[in-house]
Amino acid sequence: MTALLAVEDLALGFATDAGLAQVLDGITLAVERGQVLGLVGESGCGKTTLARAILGVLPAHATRISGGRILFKGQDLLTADPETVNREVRGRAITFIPQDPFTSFNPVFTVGAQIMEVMKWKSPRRTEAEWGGKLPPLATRYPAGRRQSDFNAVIELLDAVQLPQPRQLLRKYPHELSGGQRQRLMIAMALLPQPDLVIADEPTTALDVTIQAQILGLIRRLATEHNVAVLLTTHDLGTAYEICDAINVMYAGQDVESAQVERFFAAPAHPYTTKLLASLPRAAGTASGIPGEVPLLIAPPSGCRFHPRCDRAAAQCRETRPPVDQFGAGHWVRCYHPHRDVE
Amino acid sequence: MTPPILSVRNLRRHFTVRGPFNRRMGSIKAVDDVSFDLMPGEIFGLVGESGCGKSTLGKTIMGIHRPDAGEIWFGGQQIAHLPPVGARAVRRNLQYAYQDPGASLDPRWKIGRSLHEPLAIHSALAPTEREARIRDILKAVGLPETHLDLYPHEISGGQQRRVGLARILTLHPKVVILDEPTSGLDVSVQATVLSLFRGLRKTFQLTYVFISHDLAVVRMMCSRVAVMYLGRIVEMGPTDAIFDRPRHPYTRSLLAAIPKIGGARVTRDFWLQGEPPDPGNLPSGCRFRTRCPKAADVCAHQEPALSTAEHGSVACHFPE
Amino acid sequence: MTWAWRRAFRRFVGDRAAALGTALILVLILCAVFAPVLAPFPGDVGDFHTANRLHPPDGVNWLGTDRMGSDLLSRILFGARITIAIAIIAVGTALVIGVPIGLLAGYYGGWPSNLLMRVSDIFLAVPQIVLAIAIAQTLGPSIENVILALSITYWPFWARLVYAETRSLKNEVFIESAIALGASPWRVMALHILPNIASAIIVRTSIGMGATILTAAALGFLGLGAPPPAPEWGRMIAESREFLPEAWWYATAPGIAIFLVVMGFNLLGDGLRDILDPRIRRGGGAK
Repeated sequence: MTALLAVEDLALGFATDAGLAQVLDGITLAVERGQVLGLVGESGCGKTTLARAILGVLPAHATRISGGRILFKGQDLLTADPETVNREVRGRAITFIPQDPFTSFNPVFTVGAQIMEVMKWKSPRRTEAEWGGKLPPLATRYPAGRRQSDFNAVIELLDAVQLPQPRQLLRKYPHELSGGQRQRLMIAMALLPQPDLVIADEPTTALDVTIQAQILGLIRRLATEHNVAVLLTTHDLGTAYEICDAINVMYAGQDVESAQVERFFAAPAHPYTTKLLASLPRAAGTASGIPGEVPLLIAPPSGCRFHPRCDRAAAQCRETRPPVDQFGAGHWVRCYHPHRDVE
Repeated sequence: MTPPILSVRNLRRHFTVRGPFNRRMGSIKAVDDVSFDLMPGEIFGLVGESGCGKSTLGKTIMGIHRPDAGEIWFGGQQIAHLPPVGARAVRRNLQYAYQDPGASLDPRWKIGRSLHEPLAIHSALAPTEREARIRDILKAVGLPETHLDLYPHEISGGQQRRVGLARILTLHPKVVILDEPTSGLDVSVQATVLSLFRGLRKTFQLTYVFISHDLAVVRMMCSRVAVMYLGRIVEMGPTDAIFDRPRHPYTRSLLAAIPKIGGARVTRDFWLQGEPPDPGNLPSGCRFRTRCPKAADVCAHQEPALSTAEHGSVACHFPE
Repeated sequence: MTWAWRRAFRRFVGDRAAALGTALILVLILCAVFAPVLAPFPGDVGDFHTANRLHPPDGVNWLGTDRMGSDLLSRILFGARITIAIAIIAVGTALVIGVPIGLLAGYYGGWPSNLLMRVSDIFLAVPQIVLAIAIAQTLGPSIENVILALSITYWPFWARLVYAETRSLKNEVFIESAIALGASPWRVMALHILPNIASAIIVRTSIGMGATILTAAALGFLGLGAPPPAPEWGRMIAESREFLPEAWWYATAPGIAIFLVVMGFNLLGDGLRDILDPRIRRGGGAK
């Protein structure tokens, strides 16, 4: 069965004043239908850039894609017709939940106006006939019949995300809602177009821990109910443990390990992964850190980008990037000296 | 029994909410009748979610906010309502570290000059003596002396953090209030920063007030913990007791929300519903009752006081 | 020179507009300083040769002569001194009054600062030129009175600017932590706030010089500046009115001089803004 989303060896960089920053260096991942895949990495690893690349919202003038494909339902998004991608994929088949709920809404419009705006363009009930019109966006009408059925769908979904009194809520402005409420709205807005894939970029980082638990539970439940795949980026391993089926780890633009969630936490293989897990605070223990700092991507380390901070590094690691090493069912590592601990 | 190094009694700090025409519309009780003792040498944790008042409490103790009522005893002196001159003398021994200590550096000042500033304000040391002390402190935080001639934007974020901490330590304070020191940090960086704090505590014999919303970090670092909710302390005690045998329903919900890697999934059956009430419009009686599974009539009429039990104190009519 | 400064300097020099602006200002300063040496007829500031009046530009008088027969080029060169003096003293006085007021009002807040800002608003509500005319009329035509009028009407602008910048800066973490550290208000204002708002002040000073010169020229045009025979540029244009359009050089020469100087200050100010502000906002390229 082909994966719903398959990123193959994606490499891209950003042109900056100081040179070309190699932000992604050969990333490969696959998301199956209905699966929740966690993309784990610390700040600067490129996970948000990858999410944006899949959506196709990277700044066009500064982005240099040097290789790879992004296959969505078999079609390469990088070479597809931009009109088609804009109409059928972005915001429709693939939707996005951004990280910061406090800045993701336009402050001068009510949330209801903003949600109905989404529905006007991206509702699953929108027909081909409508798309045929060549009128500019402002002049395009919202057919009254569809508007009512869209509105009912919105209310229904707002109930599903446990927002109280949806009709009154829609009349409010974003600043009148809390972070948790706004994030629930973003989840609803991401599910309204009935997508196949939702990309959630650190959806709970800005929220308190009790709200985070509620939101994560909600994402997981709704994903299962609506049979929607989720690509969840996070730097928090606890979050990844909670709702992901499989986890990919990224470091400085390279993907280093991928495994099913149980196996990932039971027998991590890549030195970065093991060090990351060892850094988690443990009761009455000490957490070790990782010496050194994340490299600047203008002049990244050669070969495996983790080698300057790795105590298992050898000459080989500096020269070429390790190839994919299959460890078992659904578990691969890119390392010359992985931990082959007993399982 | 060693006396506490810092004592807070019935501290109150309210913010008035003003509507149009400067009309007084209500008040946010950011810190409401908070009392606790800080023992020398310990790391005392203050935990709670956003809006619970832990940061305001830290800033009020520090004097950045003036308390509306209550007492703060430090070094045998009442420091809560001091005039600015007297307050300055206190600053020597009581310091405050922002979430990002690097942001406390003036971007137009060289780092060396920023490090000299506390000593220039507070002490009568000669420049050469100041220089010597600063070099010692730089070594203690693990930074090279070449940094003295650089500007903050020329060093990395992590190094800026260390400079900020070094600046606080030049005065050799006794108590340091750490406000969300690991918030926003990657896990690997966090571990390094925490071990830095531990090392500095030993070198300089410091006492910490550790304010954080990250319970896992607090559990690892602190010997005693106070849990805050909407301006009050709802539970306080030794770390083990709080984490292994939480008594207040809010503490239990906080602990239930933390993912436990390798254990059961907490989000599947997480039971705490809803959100904290509007802080300007608190419910009568116990402020947690709108979300509490045990709420009864008495909870609406009477606000529970912090009462001491065997291993700490809890403010609840129906503690576990 | 740190790396950031070097890059900024290179950017400034590479910015042609800013380079042009700087060049023009330098020319102005040179003309003013070396006027006795550069002017072909230095005596023409006071002397007149009616036989030679209203001659068009030729080999002897490069810019022609005015109604008294004096060489226009020489008068313009000496007029540069008046122009610079007015600009520097007027703007300087406005700064010396306005900046401390703005700092104190921004730092302390409360009703005294509100009062100060309302007073500034009253001044700012009236166009500067109108107010300056009124003051200069009352006091009588002279350069000193022009400078006085300009300073009095200009300080509120600086007070407002510094007030706004101080208030926003006061919320910055490093200011709050300096106060928490025990720094006295004087120390915070002079050593922390002022250096951080200096770039905003510097940029606007340059542009302000240009605006002040223009206003001073307008006052001179209206006869409120230095009395004749002072070679004030604005007055020269006023004198030329009755001889236009035949004696076109008479108005054109001082007009172009004013234009070049004001443009020079504006370009310089823009160039300074480009190098000073983004460097501070971005805070460098470590990450």
